[in-house]
Amino acid sequence: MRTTPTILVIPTGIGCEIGGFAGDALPAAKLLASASRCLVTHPNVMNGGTLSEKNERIFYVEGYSLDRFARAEIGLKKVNQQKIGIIFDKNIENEILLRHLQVADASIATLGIDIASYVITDEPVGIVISNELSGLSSGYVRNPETLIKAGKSLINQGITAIAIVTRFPDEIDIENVNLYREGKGIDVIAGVEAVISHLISKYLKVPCAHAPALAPIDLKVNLDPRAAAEEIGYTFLPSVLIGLSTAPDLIDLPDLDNKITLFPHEIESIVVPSGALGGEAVLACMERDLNIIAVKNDGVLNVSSKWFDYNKLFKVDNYLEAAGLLIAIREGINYKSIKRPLNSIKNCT
Amino acid sequence: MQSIYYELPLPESINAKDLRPFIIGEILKKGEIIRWSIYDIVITGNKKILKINALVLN
Repeated sequence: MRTTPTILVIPTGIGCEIGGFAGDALPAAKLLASASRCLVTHPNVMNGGTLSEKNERIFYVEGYSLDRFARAEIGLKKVNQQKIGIIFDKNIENEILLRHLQVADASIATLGIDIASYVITDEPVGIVISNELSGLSSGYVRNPETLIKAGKSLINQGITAIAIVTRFPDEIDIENVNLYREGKGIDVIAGVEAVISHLISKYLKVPCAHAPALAPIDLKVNLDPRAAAEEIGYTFLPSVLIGLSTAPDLIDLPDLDNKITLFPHEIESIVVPSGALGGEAVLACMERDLNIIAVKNDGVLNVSSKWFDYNKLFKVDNYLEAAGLLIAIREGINYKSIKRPLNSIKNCT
Repeated sequence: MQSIYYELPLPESINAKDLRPFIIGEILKKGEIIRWSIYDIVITGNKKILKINALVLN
């Protein structure tokens, strides 16, 4: 069966119309997975709070590891099931912790996911949400060491994938949170979430993803449907556990044991919002001469194709068109043959 | 851990394929890289300036 392995990136915390909310790019990911028959994408695309799903054609890879894959430093190995461990931030109150532990138990009982154990960090992780850069979600953690230490202890117990739950401050800018819930703003905590999972990926090299622990917020009437998946449960952990349960192993290259299911050299295209061409995965794909499919998907960034002199860059208006382009690539059909006007070939002598 | 913002003038001779190693080389001077991206590109005078946000451990 023909495939055209593809990476889909929708950066977190930049307010994209599709993918800037609560797993609202998942339908687009399923479409592109169907068109390419092999898609590599990251938790921001797949995680909808309580909602998510598995897809045989989708490789769920955290952003830092996805960048490494785009740089051709690792390959991906499919597994039947990961053995998941959970890191909880020491700052999480008992009642919120109990809600998360019940999610883990429910995921074992109802979904058959293998969640073996959890660990609580020795010290608070210390989440800092920063708005230094107006309009972008960013921040950092005060105590990365405690997070890494907790992750190492899970790996020492035989854990193969890590879910991380950290307590986010209650003093989050509620005005911006409400704008987000109305579909008008960015996800203010998403940038720090990416930092946390990047840290674990960088230092522990296992599949991982993050869910924030937040105090309950008031019911909202004018809720945007794209943000609704984060309003229907007590925690955001279910989608993380579903994604991690069959996330691929990350295999350093060169692979001496011949274990890899998908090599980076098999990737032919990356699909990315047209204003977000300044991320590492996209630039790594340019370096490797791959197709860049830039989809109109407005957000707060404007790092667009006009800044790049790159001849394998395709601009499309939406993910439906991107899917059509991937099918053309997969089937070896010249996409120009389908567009009009159709120009005569040039004499280059 | 430190969040840094800086502006990097882009050499005229560089093409898209060489951009990532060029940027990485600059960020590594500041520390171990956790996350980075170009968040804007502007023209000042006749220079193209990359605006970069990076999170580094140092």
